[in-house]
Amino acid sequence: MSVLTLKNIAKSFGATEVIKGIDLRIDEGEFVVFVGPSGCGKSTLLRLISGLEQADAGEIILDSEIVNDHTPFERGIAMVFQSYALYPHMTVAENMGFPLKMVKEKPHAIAEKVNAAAKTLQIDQLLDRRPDQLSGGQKQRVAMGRTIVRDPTLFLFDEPLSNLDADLRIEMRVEIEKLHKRLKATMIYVTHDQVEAMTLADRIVVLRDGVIEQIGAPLDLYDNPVNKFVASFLGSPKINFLSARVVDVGEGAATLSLRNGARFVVPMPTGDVKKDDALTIGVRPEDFAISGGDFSIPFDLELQEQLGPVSYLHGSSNGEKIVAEHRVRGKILKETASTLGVNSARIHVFDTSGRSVRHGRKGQET
Amino acid sequence: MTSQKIKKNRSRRIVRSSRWRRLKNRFVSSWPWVVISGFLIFALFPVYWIVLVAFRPRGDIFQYPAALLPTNLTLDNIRFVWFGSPTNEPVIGFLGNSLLISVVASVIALSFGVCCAYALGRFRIGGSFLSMWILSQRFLPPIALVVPLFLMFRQLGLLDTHLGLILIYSVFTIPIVVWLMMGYVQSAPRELEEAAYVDGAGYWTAFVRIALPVLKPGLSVAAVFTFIFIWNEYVLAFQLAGNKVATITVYLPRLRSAIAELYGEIAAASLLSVLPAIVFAGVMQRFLVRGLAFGGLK
Repeated sequence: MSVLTLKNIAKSFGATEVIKGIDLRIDEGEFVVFVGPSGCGKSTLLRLISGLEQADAGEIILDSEIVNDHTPFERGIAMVFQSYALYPHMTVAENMGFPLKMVKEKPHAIAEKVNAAAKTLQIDQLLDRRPDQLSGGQKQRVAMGRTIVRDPTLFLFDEPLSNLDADLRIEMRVEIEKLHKRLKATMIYVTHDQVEAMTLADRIVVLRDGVIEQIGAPLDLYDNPVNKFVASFLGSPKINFLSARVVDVGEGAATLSLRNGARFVVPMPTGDVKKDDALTIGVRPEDFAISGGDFSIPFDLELQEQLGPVSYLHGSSNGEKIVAEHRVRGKILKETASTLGVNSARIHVFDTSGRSVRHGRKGQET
Repeated sequence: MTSQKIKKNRSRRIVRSSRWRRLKNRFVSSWPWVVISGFLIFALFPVYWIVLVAFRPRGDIFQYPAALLPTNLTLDNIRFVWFGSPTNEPVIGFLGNSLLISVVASVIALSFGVCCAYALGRFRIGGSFLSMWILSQRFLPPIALVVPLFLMFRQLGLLDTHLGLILIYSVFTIPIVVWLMMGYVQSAPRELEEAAYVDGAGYWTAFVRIALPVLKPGLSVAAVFTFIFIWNEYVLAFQLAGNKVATITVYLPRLRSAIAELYGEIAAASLLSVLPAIVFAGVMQRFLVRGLAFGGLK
């Protein structure tokens, strides 16, 4: 277990600045997930931590020691790659024992540790097979086994589940969670799948264009995103954005109007907005209701996706696309859903730059 | 026209058109085989003819009209080249020289070439300039370098020695190995070596224990190319050696005597000379297993 501190880390590839001065502290035993769209620098940041890439500037500190010049092995990290990176010419046992062989452990000690790890991951019957004789899930377990045999200080996962099918992905996600609970090790996990991020992380780090947009506990980020980007990145289906205008500003509250003329009052810090400001409001799909709410918006239902206990209603309101969650079984009529109610206390408000000026659930449901 | 007649005509037309379609399909599906067979006959006929001549008595070689099928076969030609004659040395010594020089030079070229290709392909050492410079070593035909090489070899005492030929063939084939292997290195998954670094391997260990086994199919291709190039090379073998140390390619033209062209004997020697290369290529073929590198990924 380790404490990892990144101080002003920067990395460029040629003229392209990929990581732009990142500061981050990851505590002992914490499970931190880096999320962000493709090209945001999350994998590069992981590779910088691993030592597979060298930082151009800044310090990487592991347990109070600056490790910028240390090799990946000297850093005491273990890494699971997106492609698993199992050695194709070695058996499962040889793959898992390779890190121990590198530190010249005795053969019987290697066999003992490999067997123990294999039992934990339920792959003890596969030890004599080669990687091309394994399924995707089995390969993933072997890759994890290779990391746990050497008792590393820090685990790094680079999109380890992205090549698995949906069922296996859920199964392996649970396995990783169990592994974290059992080992109590510090783990960093890179993914672009926000479901993985929400379910696995103690804290999520949202990255965009090489900078950290927001760090926080999954629900904290979901409820209190600092900007439109974070709000839209977390949550499935995505948050809905609607154009609005400030029509009146009062003490600790503002009156906003939507395109359809609907007006509502939202509590808001005084001074953040002024009259006639153009804003964007964000409403999570689950915060719409067929009936109820402080105000309603017209809704043109185009499609209903029924997923069992929940339905997603796809449509538009004054030309703006809307996805609403409906928690009643059965088909809903277009006429029944001609308006959607919204609780003004639950809406997020963003200014023209995308910065959040009001969170939807501040102080609620914690 | 009655409706029955119309029906009859229509069914006749259908039968005719389906017959035509079947014929057309048969032609479309068979024409690649026709082309391939034609090409194979063109390419393999000279080989067949060598085999035939190697086992024919001298009198039958030039008979007219030529007999295309094997008749009147004999082992005399094989015996002549294998055991030699008062004017001709046995072929075994030349085969031995060729084998020794080809194997050693190939091993040297592969060892240096694969290291070089790995450095160029993985670590981009020298950018594109260095790799292009290495390839440029093969731009000149060997004959263009014979005079300076001859002078150098004479100074160094390498003329007509095994070492001299091994050195020059190694140097000549390293660019081939480098360029062949660079493609394999670049397409081999980098994560495997990175995983090895994380697991505690240094650059050398990762190269030897992880990268090389993954590159085995490429290595066998390079080995076959290198071996066959050296085995078949004549100009350098003749100019820089050829007396005390003569290879099989130097031996073959010696069979053209002043009295008679020993066609049967030349054919027999040619047959013997291609056998080791065929055996070597056959052995290496089993390493040409594609997909080994990707078993551990995705």
